[in-house]
Amino acid sequence: MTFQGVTIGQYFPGNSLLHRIDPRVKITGVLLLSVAIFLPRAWPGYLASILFTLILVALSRVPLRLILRGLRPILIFLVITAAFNLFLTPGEPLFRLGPLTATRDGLVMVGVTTTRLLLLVIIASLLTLTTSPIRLTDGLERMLRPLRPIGVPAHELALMMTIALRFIPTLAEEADRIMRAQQARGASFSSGSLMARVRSLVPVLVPLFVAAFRRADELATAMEARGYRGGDGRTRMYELVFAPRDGVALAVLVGFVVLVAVLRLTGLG
Amino acid sequence: MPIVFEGVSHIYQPGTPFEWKALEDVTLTIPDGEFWGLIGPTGSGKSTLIQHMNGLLRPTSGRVLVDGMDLADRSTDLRKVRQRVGLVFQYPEHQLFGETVFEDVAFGPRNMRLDAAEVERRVLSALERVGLPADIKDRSPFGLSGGQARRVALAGVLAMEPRVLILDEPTAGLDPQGRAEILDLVGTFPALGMTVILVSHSMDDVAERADRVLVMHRGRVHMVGTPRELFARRAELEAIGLGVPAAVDLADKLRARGWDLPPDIVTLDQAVEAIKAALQARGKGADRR
Amino acid sequence: MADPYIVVEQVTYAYGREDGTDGAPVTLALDGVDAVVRRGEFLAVLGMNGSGKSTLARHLNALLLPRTGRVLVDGLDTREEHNLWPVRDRVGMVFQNPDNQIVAAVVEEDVAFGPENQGLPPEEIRVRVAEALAAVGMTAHRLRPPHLLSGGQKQRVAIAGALALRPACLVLDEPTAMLDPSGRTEVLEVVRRLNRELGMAVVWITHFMEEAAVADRVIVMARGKVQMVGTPREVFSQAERLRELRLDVPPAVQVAERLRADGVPLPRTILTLDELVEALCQLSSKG
Repeated sequence: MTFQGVTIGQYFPGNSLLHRIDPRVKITGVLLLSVAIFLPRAWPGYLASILFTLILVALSRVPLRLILRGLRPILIFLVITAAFNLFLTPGEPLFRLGPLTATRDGLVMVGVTTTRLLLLVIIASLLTLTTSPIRLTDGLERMLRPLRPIGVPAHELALMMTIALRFIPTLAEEADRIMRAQQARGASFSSGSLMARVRSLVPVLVPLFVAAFRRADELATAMEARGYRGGDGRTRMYELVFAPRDGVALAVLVGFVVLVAVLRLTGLG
Repeated sequence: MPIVFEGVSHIYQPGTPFEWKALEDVTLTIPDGEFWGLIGPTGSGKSTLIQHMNGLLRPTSGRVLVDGMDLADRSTDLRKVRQRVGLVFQYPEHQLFGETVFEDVAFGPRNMRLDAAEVERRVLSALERVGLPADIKDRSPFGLSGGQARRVALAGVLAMEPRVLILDEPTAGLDPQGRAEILDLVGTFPALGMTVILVSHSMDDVAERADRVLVMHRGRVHMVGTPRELFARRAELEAIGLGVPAAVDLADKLRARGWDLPPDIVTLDQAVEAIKAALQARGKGADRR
Repeated sequence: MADPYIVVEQVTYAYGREDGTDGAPVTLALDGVDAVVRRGEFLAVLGMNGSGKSTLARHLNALLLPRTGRVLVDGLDTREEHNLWPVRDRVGMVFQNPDNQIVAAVVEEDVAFGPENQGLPPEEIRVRVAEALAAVGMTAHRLRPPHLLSGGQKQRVAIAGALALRPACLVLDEPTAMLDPSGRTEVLEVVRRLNRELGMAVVWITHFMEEAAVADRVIVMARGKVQMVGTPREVFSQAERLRELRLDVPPAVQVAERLRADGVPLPRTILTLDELVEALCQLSSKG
């Protein structure tokens, strides 16, 4: 019962424009924008990046709190990086804190790096929030397919991801059951030193692994029985098809990168 | 060592959209030394109920008392409770992890902080009780057959020498022969002084052995009584999707055709005797040889 | 009687090393098995664990190949490599563990797995998936993740996954062993309906006698051999033989047998409780 509420990944179901765009375009978009974020050297460039990101957020129609939740893990990292930048960048002193001197240039660096990190995380979050794990896997596979002749196992990787996603809730439930069974035999997972707690997981992990191997074996047999013979010649129930809006989206993304590059090159941003 | 439930309710994931009331106002007392059957359709709350008996779950409201101890009380040592109230889950062989059978069965006693000699004594005793040969103790639990592995898992709980033993569908996944063997084994436990609670989907499993049967439905105690009392209320059982043993069905069908049979027929043996007697009474049938 | 669709001829099979060079004697999981699956029939294979019934099942779709003897599916010899995929197109299989057959994180994607393997056009795949889901009554659940389904529902999805390949024969290897009673009824009902309505041959492997009793024919296996073949009535009325094979005897048969031993003249063909009641009433009303 415990895991009926588990949602896989961060996916937030919806029907916004961002949701409907082809996952390949979105993945490419994340890559392009990651580059674009590091191009600006003056405030017009940064402003453009921030505005563009905010527009994407609005288009996704994902509740703000979910986006902010994605920032939580990097908060500590942000604070540490900010401190380093503030006190270790040489330049005109602003104020002192004990032996450390904050500089004006340092303050600027804080602004720059913080902005870049935040935008990066928000853009990556938008990808996983608006793309279901299945579509994401499909997108990745299609993009890696051209690389198959040079040995990239696109289909196998995608299949691995699909099966992993399928079994995560199942394995989580099984882990829960095993934990309870061991607790019924007097096991405790929450007391003692760190070493003790790690060791207390052995009676849970071993059966879980053994079961996982058996599952894999049975699953492989079932797949063979349904005609699985590798990735060659396989089709998909829902093939990814480029729609006009995907072309437009790609053009907009490329256009934005070009804009920011031009701003930088002309010294304006 | 009675187990007492006072107005126990349990809600999973309260306050979320997935809220689910698994137990509603359960009040019952399971006295020492009895053999209880716990029956009910899937989703009736059986699994939730038994996990309250050893403190794996806490009531959302109400109290659970084991041997007079309130399980929700902070001062109650749950490890001690779990030694006294042994719980064997479904497919218990899925929890085996030891390098050898001995190591696995020893897990429970070792968690009780017993000394090595006592641990060894209990492991060997438990293996014997479940009918496994002593030399199995050095084998890996992963190389055993399904039936053997299940007995090892059972031994792992018996080695803690509980006063109450709860078994959740110990026959799940076994073929008829395997089922009979496990049920016979469980049938020997009351003689060892244990209170036994057998959870099952099948009335057949408990009809012959249980002193009392508790029927759960939608989280509530639906009916409690001796097997015979319950089978007399057959329509209520069938209304919630539970069947009756074949002997009961046979006797009912004959009574519907006007046969005068005694009211307490639960096993096929009893049915055969009753039919023979009835045929003689009617002056038909049995040619004495 | 319908034509044979699958023919099993004198098949032997052993797990492990062929020549027993690891010192262990070669135990035959199948020891000279002859069997036939006819078009459109509901055939039950009954036996205890270790009887060879699952091993036999896996020979029907070339998951296992005979050590000696041969298996012909629609005339195709399973030992010939080029017949592998054609055989699996004709014989679908459903396994015991409901979870360990479902590959995808969404029901309809899993049902599509088989047709996708065949390289069918997407439109055709969608048609087959819709058909298969409707045939098992799981259309309403098509977008749900498998971990939220009951055991019976998961098995129905597995059946749909096999149906999507439009096999002429469906083999189910102990499909209800891990289900609760309502799940067991659910799955048996669905398969019986498919057998009746689609005319699909069904091979139902089980250790539950009540399930074998609804089949057209029953094969009883023990120790790697076919021990009994016949209609359920023919097979289950042989109480002594069933006991020899450590099998369950239907309650009506048990009672009838015990009464007969005491001189009560009951017919030997009694199989169900209703038939027993009828016979007893007739007896007591005579004379």
